[in-house]
Amino acid sequence: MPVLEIKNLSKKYGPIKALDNLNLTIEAGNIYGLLGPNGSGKTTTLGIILGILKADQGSYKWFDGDWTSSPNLKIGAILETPNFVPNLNAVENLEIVAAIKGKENPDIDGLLELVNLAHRKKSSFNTYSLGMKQRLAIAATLISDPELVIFDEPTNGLDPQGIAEVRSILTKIAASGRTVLLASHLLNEVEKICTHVAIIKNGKLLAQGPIDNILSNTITIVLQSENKEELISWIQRTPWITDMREVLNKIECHITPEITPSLVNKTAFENGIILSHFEVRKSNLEKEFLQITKGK
Amino acid sequence: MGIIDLLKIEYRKFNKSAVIRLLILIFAILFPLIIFALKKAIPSSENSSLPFSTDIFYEFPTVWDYQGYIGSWLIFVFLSFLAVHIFCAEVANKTLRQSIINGMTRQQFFLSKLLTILVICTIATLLYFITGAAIGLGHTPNPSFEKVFSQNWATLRFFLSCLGHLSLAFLFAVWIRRAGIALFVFLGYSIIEPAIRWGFYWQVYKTKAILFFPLNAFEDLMPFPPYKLGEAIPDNIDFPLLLTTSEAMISSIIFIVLILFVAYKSFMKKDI
Repeated sequence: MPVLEIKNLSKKYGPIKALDNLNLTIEAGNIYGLLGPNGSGKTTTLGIILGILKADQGSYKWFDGDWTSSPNLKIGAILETPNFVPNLNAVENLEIVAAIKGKENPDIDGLLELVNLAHRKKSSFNTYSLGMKQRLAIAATLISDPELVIFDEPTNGLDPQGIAEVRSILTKIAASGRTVLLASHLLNEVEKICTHVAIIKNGKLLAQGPIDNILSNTITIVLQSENKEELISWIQRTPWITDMREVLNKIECHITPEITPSLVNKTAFENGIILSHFEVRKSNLEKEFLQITKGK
Repeated sequence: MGIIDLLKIEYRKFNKSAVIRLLILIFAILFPLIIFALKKAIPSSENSSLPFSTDIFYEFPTVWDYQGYIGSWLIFVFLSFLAVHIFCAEVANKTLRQSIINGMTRQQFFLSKLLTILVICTIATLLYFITGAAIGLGHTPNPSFEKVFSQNWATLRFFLSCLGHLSLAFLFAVWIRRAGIALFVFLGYSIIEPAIRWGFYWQVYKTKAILFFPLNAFEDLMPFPPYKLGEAIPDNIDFPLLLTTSEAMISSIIFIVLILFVAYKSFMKKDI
């Protein structure tokens, strides 16, 4: 069942198109990575579906319309920065979130333990480091045991230790079986955590689907032979090898997932080419992302 | 989420706010004190050329007028800032957008602010009633029920004056979203509105219609008492300088509804 269906969403800021007929569907139980370069429309998309920005056109539907006063009551979300009342402490701020969510007797101590903030629970929010603020925001998203959690760049501005802490918490949340929507340009994080990705640029959806499908589109192989001209000629004659380019005296090219490395080696040998170097580079999200967004 | 829930959330948010505590404290201290300071500052009728005794500042029923007039200035200066602060602080801290993200609807958020304004107005009105009654009872010889309550609708007028001023300040807060600028514009409006009214009077239309402007209507709910007594009115104006009590009340109610409606529509329409 889709938890969110976005149809033809568009939004302009003056002459700039932030979203251009965006369509996106998020199924329950998936961990979705929303990827895009800065200014691609990720935060605008999240802002609209969370009700703080108004779309110029298009529509979105949460939980198939199955919600009462606000769909956001079923969602835990952080958008951009953690936002709390500065002079209140962690417990008081979480009590406000719980009151808005209509959650009685929330396990605030448990949540603060989870995000490693129990020792600072009585300190004012404005005395927290950015990492602590981010962790408190993550605790707030979980306070009502939401069906879906949304994180927008949760590691932005954090130091390496802060990134590691947030990544560890995100991994735990992802393992809990909730639907997660993670907007980020930290592709390593997304690749490790997410099951699905959507890639947007200039407000347009460029690709979406299970992360394995996105990654397995192409495999990069790097070849070298003493007889380089023969090698290049063979590659040019072989239809299932594409995108050939020479890098540091080696030949880098792509094969489709159906082609096994042993088949490459065998076919090269049958054509009289002895490979002195044969390397298979599995696709990663960063590479795919750059490929998909290149020139678009 | 019911009204009580919304008020509880507002209380949690603001009960430790130094700005709010300070403003309420100043208001609560100055409100009863100013009238006594006036007694020190203005000589009694035996020693001055004033056409009335300063005892009327403290005696029933005129204490309601004087205390109300002082209160309306304090509302303008201090409580209007509260109305701006409760909205603009949420914008500045981004707790407005977070409240919506957390599941509060825009209607609920607007209602929570409106309820807070109503609570502030109710507290200010209670303070007006208590201080007015205490001062009056302490200074009026043989206060009869009729004497105490002969001022028609004084408490309601004070409440409406408070609600009017705060609603107008709140509208500027919703429009402008930055506390400093919103306050500046609100204070500027208090200069611009009379200028518009009298400009209108001199250039276009010499009638009482110039009195039916929002801030003027709110001010005429608790006017400068000598004006109310018919004194100090310029001779060259051929209509009363003040709205009557009922005109002021009815027009204030209409303006308050209009102001809140515009604020609501503006809030619902804008990105947060």
